Amino acid sequence: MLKFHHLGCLVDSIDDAVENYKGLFSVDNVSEKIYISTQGVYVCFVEIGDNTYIELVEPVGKDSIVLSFKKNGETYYHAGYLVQDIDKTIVQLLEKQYKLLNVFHSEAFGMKRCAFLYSPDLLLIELIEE
Amino acid sequence: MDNYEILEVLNGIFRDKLDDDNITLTPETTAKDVKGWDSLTHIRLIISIEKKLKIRFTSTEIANFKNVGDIIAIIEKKLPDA
Repeated sequence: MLKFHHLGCLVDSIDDAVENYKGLFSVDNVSEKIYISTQGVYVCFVEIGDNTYIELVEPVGKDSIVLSFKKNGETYYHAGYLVQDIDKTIVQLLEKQYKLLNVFHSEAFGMKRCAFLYSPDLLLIELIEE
Repeated sequence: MDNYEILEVLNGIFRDKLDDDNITLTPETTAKDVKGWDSLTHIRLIISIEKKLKIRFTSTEIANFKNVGDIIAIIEKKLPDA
């Protein structure tokens, strides 16, 4: 089963975006900035509900994998879900015609395994193994 | 649908998804030749091709695409005979 965890939001500057979110949510609900080497991005989590987050994503450099989303400005571009068994979930999603982009260990989740997949409707999702 | 017609379908999809009307693909075109054709957009392009032509690529096929000609060759095999 997929358990919703976060919405990924692409921003030009995490620092600027955090300032905006601080006016809406407690400062205690904002994580430190974390660099994700495999994705070429900084991320920061803003808790907006019980274990529910906005993930602010700031591309770094010209080779960041998310730069292709930037042409439409700042935007929500993926939903993150916690899963018990990432391998089993990937197989289930592939059977439902999802396409696997990559599997990686994420600094944002204590180097746990994560994966990005596209749905047949071109919605990008991230799996995070609990 | 012959190879030229498949190429025209691909041109339309690439222009639409990459938002660039100046894209003109050839069988030799690779991702390096097209601005914005990266690993993320590659999957979006593939899914768009699947939906447009009502076909399915396997993961192995997708991984082995080296240029537009490779995509056309697989599409040609999957399309029903006219």
